[in-house]
Amino acid sequence: MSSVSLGAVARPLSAVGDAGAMFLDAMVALFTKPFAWRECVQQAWFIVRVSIIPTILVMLGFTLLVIFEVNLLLKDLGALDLAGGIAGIASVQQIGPFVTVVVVAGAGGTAICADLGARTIREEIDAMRVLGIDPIHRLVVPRLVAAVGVSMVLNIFICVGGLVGGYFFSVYLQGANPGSYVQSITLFTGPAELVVCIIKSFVFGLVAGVIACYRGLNVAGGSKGVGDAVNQAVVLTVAVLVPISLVISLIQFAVL
Amino acid sequence: MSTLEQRVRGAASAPSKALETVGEQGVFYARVLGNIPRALRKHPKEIVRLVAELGMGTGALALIGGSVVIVASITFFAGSVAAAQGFESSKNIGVSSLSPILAAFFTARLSTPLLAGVALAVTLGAASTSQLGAMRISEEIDAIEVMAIPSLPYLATTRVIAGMIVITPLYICATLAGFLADYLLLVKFYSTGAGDFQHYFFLYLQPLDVVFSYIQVLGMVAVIMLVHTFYGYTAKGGPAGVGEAVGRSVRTSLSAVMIVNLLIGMSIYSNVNTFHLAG
Repeated sequence: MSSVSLGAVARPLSAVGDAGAMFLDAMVALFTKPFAWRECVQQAWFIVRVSIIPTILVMLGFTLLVIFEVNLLLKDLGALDLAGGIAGIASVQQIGPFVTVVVVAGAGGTAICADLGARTIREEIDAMRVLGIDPIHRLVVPRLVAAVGVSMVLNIFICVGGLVGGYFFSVYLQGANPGSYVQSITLFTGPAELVVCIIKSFVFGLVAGVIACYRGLNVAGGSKGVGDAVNQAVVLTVAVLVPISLVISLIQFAVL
Repeated sequence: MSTLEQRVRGAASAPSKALETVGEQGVFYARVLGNIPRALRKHPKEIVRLVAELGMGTGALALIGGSVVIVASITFFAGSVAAAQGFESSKNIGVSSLSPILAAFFTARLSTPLLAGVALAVTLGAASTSQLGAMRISEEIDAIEVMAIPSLPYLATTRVIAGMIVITPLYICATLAGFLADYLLLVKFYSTGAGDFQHYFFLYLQPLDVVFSYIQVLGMVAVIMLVHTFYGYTAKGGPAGVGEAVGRSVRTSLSAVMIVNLLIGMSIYSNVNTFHLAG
């Protein structure tokens, strides 16, 4: 009985260790020449292509709902002039990174994982190993670089989109003053907060990429296996990234 | 040259293809919903089994406690973020003792339903797609049809019903986890007074808000289960196709869920404003 429960505890832990080992391998391979530029650009384009529509829709739904409801609160307080400040907090400090989590995990991560899982199940990865090509160097590194790059670009896009969408919502639907909206954006959100936001998106892209690549390369068990791998990758990514976002925010509050 | 021609042709047929997909999905959803009475009458046992399975999860996810633990932990951390940001922002303008008000507002109305929607899409939804997709690829669905059991009510409709049932206990856990996070962060971490927290938190925690957020989540779960069963039920292209279907269904359902949430939220809160600071 004790050995069974030990195995149940050890299995997820050993997966964490394996993923960490793969990450370290990838970090070494990152500086091994030649860097697979072509694959990296193709992957970046692939991730952007699958993520852009979810990004826009999730951003609209997520950020605008927050701004809408907070504006109701501000209206009650008679402080609708602060709408821009709240939009800044919402889209740059907290909600923007959350949207990035959702998009990077749900769109980019699933696409990477499904792609690599399909290659694993067709034994393409084994064939590469036989040919003496390191899949970490050839496949994982360009995907990680692409995931991080796209995550940072999408994050900026989400921040700007949230602020612009918030402008239309606050000014045209809820009657905020356009001038005071623009003026108050910088009230709570300065360059330091923007840098933290960019750091967050960097970490999110990296973690999502590592989890997606790891689950994609370790697929077993036929058609059920690939589906389960993608499912687990996205669940784990969201479950890991939300606490990471909290930790980065707490560090930010303690330091700034 | 030929690739250019193919691309132009592809672009020209894209709108009609998109329209076709919309129609296909619409017909599927109508059939799933239309079969609800039949599924309730003929497959009650299957529904009960699915409720247990969706709640506890399968495979490796069951090891870490299943959907309940995952959804509750995500809303827990989201509630913490809301409480922390509320505390820091209100400290900026010197009213940090009022931060429980902000925590109650943000957690009940925003962070819990939104993040629960995301968590439900990736746990309940994606698991259903993966299961149904694997069944489709290994021709189990065809086998069911051959045995003269209509597969759509048996597989898709039962999952939608089970999702709608399982959401109630799941969402209770998720909401409580969010409130617990508010308490722990504000009282234990930021040392707001416990009495202060209790007073302001429950003064401004509107019971109606929780009910409304439950309605939002019900809407989201209906959309999630419909989208995910569609992509699983229509998976094709071998094992690789199942992975592709899961990825595509997650992208679609996340986008759809957020828009549904925005629409429900706007229609509720622009008509009924439960929050009155000034009384």
